[in-house]
Amino acid sequence: MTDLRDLSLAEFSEALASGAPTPGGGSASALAGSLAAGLVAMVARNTAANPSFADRAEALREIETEAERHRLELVGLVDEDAAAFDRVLAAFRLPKETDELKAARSRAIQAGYRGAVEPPLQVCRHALAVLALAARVAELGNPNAVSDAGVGALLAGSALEGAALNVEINLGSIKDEDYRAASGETVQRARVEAEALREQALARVREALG
Amino acid sequence: MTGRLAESGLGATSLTAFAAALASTTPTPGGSCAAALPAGLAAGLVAMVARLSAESDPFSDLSFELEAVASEADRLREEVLALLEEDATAFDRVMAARRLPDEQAVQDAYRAAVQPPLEVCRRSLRVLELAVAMADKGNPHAAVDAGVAVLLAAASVEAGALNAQVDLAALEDEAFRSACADELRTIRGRAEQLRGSAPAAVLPA
Repeated sequence: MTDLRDLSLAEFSEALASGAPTPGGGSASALAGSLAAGLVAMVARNTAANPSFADRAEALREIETEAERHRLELVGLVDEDAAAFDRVLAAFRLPKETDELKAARSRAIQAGYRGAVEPPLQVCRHALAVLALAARVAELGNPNAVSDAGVGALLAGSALEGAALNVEINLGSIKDEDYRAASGETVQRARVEAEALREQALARVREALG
Repeated sequence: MTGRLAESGLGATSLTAFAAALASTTPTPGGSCAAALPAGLAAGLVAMVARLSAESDPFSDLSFELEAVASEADRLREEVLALLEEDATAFDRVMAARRLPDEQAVQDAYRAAVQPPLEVCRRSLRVLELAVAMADKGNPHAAVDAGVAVLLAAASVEAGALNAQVDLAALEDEAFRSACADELRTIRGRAEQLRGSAPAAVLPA
């Protein structure tokens, strides 16, 4: 099967629109996160190359390197999310004629859901990091590019929230209480931190735009 | 079916290449193009939820309505993706005009550059309306996808408004500026309201 990363934007959005359950919201959230990281890297790189901002070039290069790392991870998660959910669907199709088969199917479904929690959980983590970088680049970056940093913060925020919804929906099917509680809490904390970072970045953007 | 965008322009860029192009130092594609894309993804998700929901009860009244939602979302998806390209072109024109000693040309270019992000806001608002409707009436198994569509469409409204504001700030025509600013305020207010109206089970406040 084609790796989703190799699809064009038009093909990918069309694949979303099809009646097939994957790719879905998890993949779309990962993509939004990767775009946010791309924007943050662009603002950091452009400002670092501008002699007027030489005083902060080093900090900006660090932001750029970090943002690029998250961008690559997030692009990879577009495909991982879809693949993980396909495994859940495959587990549901396993035979259930005998008690033994039923038990095996149930284990496979549980393993499938656990696997399906991981990609959106990773998207949450990376998107949170990208939001922090967007807030920094809104502060340090060239004011002419501040709206790009703002768009980066908006996209990273929606990526995080979208991924959080996907974590929660999959957690709902997991029987292991401890795992459920731990992952649920990670997501909840990420949401709270994200809200603060998003506000910080956008406040800076509004100030710069006047 | 592959749309016109699949064959040329930014729509033909792979996901990997587009994110990399954003990260590059060239001014386009920039934040403006990235602003439209989430709404394109959201429209795709809306169509998916509508189709999945229609399949589950193909002969009901609701399924006719769902098919209409799917077609409208398909159209919006194409339109929003076309705006990626229009936005990049308009921005390149601003850059070109600024190299000329003609202030009127610069003003004209900025005025034209306001249109794509304004259009992103308008279409994203419609995608948002459809996404909330799908979160409400769609198949509960796909409700999370409708929820993500709400989030992404709302992000595009806000991002489009930011980009429009930047271009508006460069314009001297007060009347035009304040008319656009009013429209943006109305759209953002409505978007905020819609996002808040999504069922709490799908999208916690």
